[in-house]
Amino acid sequence: MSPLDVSQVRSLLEQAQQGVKGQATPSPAREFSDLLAETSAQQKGAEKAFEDYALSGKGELHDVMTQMAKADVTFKFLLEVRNKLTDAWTELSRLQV
Amino acid sequence: MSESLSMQVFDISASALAAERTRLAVISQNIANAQVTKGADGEPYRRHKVVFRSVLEDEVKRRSGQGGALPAGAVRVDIAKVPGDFESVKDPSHPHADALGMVRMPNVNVIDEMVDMVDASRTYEANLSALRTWKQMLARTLEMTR
Repeated sequence: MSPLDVSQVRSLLEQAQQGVKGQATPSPAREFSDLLAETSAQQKGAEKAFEDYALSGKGELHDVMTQMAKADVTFKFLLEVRNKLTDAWTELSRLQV
Repeated sequence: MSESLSMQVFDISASALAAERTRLAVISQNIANAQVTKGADGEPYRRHKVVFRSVLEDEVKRRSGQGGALPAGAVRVDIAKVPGDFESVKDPSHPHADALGMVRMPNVNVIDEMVDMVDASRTYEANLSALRTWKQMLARTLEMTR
């Protein structure tokens, strides 16, 4: 099981936003970065629960399934936010100058 | 990181699933031990029963910071022994029979256990449905901006 590690995207984003501004200011990039962190944590939690259950026989089946459901929902939310952001960008790029 | 309420719904349902799992384990134990006339304490097997209790707000607050705390509204189960007299059955050939040929049997009624088992199974399904429905509701909500 080698899932996509979304935290790599996050570090790229953080580098990009530190180049622009200081850290504390709230921005869409910061929000998106936090969401990526949350999604990454959920995925890692699901992966760990799965591995503990499948390989070490620890934990409960329903816990693995709920962890995976949570990770699924969080990831879908991330996708929706990304779609919204890219839509906004496409919309902006079409502006007549 | 404190979880959002929408994620806590999953934990509440999961706690109920765990509770029903424990309940079924206790039922299995009762059925398996229904003929045990002498346990470690020399007494016949005594029926066990699960007692549900909900995780209250103040309990959550008291335990917060310790990690792994269940959200308010989740359930926990305790396992208790059921009091009551043991039924005596006449069986003189039984090694545990007393001077009058009576054997004390566990206070387990297998029919009651079967009824409990059906209940546990259906309650498990109900909680699974609640979980699945909540997941579908979230998926529908995500379609709102499309």
